[in-house]
Amino acid sequence: MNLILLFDVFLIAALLLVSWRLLGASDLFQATVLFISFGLFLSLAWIRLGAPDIALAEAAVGAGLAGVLLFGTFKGLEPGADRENDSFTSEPCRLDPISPCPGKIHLLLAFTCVGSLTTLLVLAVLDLPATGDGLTPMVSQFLERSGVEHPVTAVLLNFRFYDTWLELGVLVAAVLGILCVRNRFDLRELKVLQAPDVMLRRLVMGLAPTMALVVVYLLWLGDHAPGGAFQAGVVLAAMLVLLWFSGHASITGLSRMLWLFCLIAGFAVMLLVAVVSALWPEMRPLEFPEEWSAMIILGVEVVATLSIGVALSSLAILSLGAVDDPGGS
Amino acid sequence: MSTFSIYSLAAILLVGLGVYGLFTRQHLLRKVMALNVIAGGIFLLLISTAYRNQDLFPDPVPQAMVLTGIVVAISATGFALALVRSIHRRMAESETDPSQDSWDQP
Amino acid sequence: MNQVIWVVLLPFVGSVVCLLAHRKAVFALGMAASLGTLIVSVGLVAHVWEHASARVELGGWATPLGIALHLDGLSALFLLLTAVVGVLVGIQAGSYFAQSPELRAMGSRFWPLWLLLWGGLNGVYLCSDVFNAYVLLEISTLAAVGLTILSGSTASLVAGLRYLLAAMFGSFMYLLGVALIYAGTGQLDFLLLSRGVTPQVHTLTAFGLMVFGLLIKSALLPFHFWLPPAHSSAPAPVSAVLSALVVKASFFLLLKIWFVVFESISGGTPGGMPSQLLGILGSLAVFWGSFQAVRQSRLKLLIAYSTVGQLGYLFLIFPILASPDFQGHEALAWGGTIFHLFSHGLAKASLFLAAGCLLQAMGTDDLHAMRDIAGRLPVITFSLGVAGVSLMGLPPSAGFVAKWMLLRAVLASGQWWWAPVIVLGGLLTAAYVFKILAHTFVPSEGEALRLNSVPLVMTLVPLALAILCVLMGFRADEVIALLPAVPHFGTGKNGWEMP
Repeated sequence: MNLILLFDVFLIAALLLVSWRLLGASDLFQATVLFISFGLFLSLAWIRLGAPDIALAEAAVGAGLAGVLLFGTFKGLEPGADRENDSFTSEPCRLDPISPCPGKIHLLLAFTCVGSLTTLLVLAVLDLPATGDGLTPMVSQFLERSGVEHPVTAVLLNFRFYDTWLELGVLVAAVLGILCVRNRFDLRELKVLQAPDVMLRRLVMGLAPTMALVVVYLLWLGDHAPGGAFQAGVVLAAMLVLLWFSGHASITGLSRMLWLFCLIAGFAVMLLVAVVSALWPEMRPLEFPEEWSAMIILGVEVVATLSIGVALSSLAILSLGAVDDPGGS
Repeated sequence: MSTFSIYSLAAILLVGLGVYGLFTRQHLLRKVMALNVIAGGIFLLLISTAYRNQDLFPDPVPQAMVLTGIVVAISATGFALALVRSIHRRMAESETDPSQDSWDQP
Repeated sequence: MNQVIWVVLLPFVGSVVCLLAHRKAVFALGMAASLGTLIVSVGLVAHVWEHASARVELGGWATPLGIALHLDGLSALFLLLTAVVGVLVGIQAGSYFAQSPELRAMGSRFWPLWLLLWGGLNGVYLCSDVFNAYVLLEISTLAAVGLTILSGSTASLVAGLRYLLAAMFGSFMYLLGVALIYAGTGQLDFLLLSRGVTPQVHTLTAFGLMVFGLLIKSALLPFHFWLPPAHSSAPAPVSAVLSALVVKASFFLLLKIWFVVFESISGGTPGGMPSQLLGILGSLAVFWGSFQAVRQSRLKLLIAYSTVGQLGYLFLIFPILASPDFQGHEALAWGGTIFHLFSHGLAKASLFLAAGCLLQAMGTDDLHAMRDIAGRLPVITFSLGVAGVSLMGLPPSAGFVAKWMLLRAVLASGQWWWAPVIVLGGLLTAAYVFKILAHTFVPSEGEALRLNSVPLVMTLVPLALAILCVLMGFRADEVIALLPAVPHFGTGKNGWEMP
């Protein structure tokens, strides 16, 4: 028991220290690296708290993808900056370059505001009931009727299907927004920054089938154990980014239509379920018959995996890709 | 102290750190990181809530909320970073070419 | 009541179809989805009028487990406003984005994002679950930011990023509140929460955080910094949607959180202080926004600051309703606020669309360049004038009815100190409206500015919006007759019983 407590204290100290340093470190490259370790420590915390689903997702997204995005942006902002170049002193990238750097008063004011907010929150958290079932009894009562055995999947894809559907909509909105930044709806002309290395090409070629297997396995696992569409989609995204990065065929090879189709397939399939259930006379919107629910959930998951993979890898590729002209006009 | 209270307090401190970073750091990349630290804190609070009950399985509803939240956060982060990069490039262009529209002109 | 879901489904279907369709077909498909949504929305208003509120449990799962949609008078009115503005803005967008190949490319990006936004907004109006509301707010925010940066100009990118960062922060504060409230009560549904919350430290903190997050998103005074650049640098149809609708969706959610979910907290004595604070911030917003509007020399920025000011009036409802109802001022306050929301939505959409026409005709939206515009572009100037009159609150416009009702509600609630805010705010509004109009009548010196042609449809849509706004004022009796029904089954406990 004490060992676990010790582990908790260490983990939390590490989390706080890393986040403090990543916000405070003067070196932006260091901050990016710290951000990735922040994600890794968080996924340790998820495992400790009995949430392996989240741990899988966090390790892939929080540490992996977000790290890649931040690193890509950092490279884009400061192409010359590297590990050796410790003094990242060029003009800071700010929204309002004219306003002066925050003075002492600003810092003091921020500290007071944030300090009182944190104090209030601490009081609120201490006031929370130490035990509470939340909706667990409800979920376990209806789990049999949901069509899957894993409670998190049941909540995501049956009880709160609406949220998951909208979440895919958020992903679509973000990718469409980024394409507005780039001023075009096409990925095809995106080039890798450096020419890929031969070793890397071979390595990735060898890895790809394994990763594809992992995707399928995770997808199948979601039915009865931690895993599912989201985790599988993230691994798929990682595979697509790696393939692209090493110069193999990836989503940048897809035609515009095909790519768009893959991007919105998940959202569209869930929309289709919604439309059909809304038209069905005896059915509530988003309801599906119990005997079909396992099949419908599996079908939705397969398509959602594809969409999540394509959308997340597009986010990463768009941020890592060589900037060719989107044109400001 | 119970595991729940330790982790939920840590979650709150993460939120506090993130908000402080967001208010005081000027660099846009850092602001995006600060927002992600806030998100991490909120997710930690939700998961420590789920952990309180250990009868059958940890409460799946907050777990589903966090999974949804992670997707939303990464989408917004990716979007924000694309904007940061694009703005930075425009700024660099307008520095070399004064005919470009100025950086802070509303 | 399964047709409720169609106001969310139709825009989403339209969005997917527009994304995949050929560039030439996008407008027709988008308009078809818009008109369909309008028809369903009108149907829902009629349903609420006849049968009171409706509730649909999605997926057939009862509420603590599943998510419910809740349609009441307030939601129906918001759906209607969004549909009316949405269809008219769609018509405008059709000819705005048809003018050059570049604009056509922009239009093919406009429709999917705008319909996604519309679906998200309609979802917010129907939502009855605090976490679901978070996801819907995010979908609307990301789509709105995507629309803001549609033109791709540097100014719009900077404005869009500022908007995105502010909105993300707001959403996270809201989500933190959701996390606390779930940890405390184990519920997410509005109705179940409203029964379950008791004034404890964690509940009050959650309430504060959710309200704080939504205030940032609805741009109340100290948090308004992101609004003027974002709303003024977007293309005209987008500005109209952002100012008329998007900020109001956050306000709608604020009303629900305040008066439904935390009814037991905000209605009791502890509600006095925070609601007075919101009233004060709202009043400051009225003064500051209008004052900044008077100072602007660019038309679109002026209109954007005017939004900051006009939004301030909406927040007077919180202090008014905090005092116990003696003389039926609750109905007046609800009526005035919703009337103001409608009239501002229509007038502001009209102003932004008219400003877009002027921008296109003159090539700039500098007020000083607008010489002799009144004579040369009479229809656009007339729309500006009519919408401006409604914004000022002169009779017989809808703006007048709104402010008159608010004034009566303020006096009836015994909080006379808000009355000068309403009157002085109207004067400041008059100042900036006259500033616009005065510039259009200045005769040109030397050679006149060469004007580009503006398609007829584009000049008629702002006029239609402005006239609609005034007609609402002429038909004040009917609308007022309809409005007392809103609080009756719109909010408050009686409208929120399980069917």
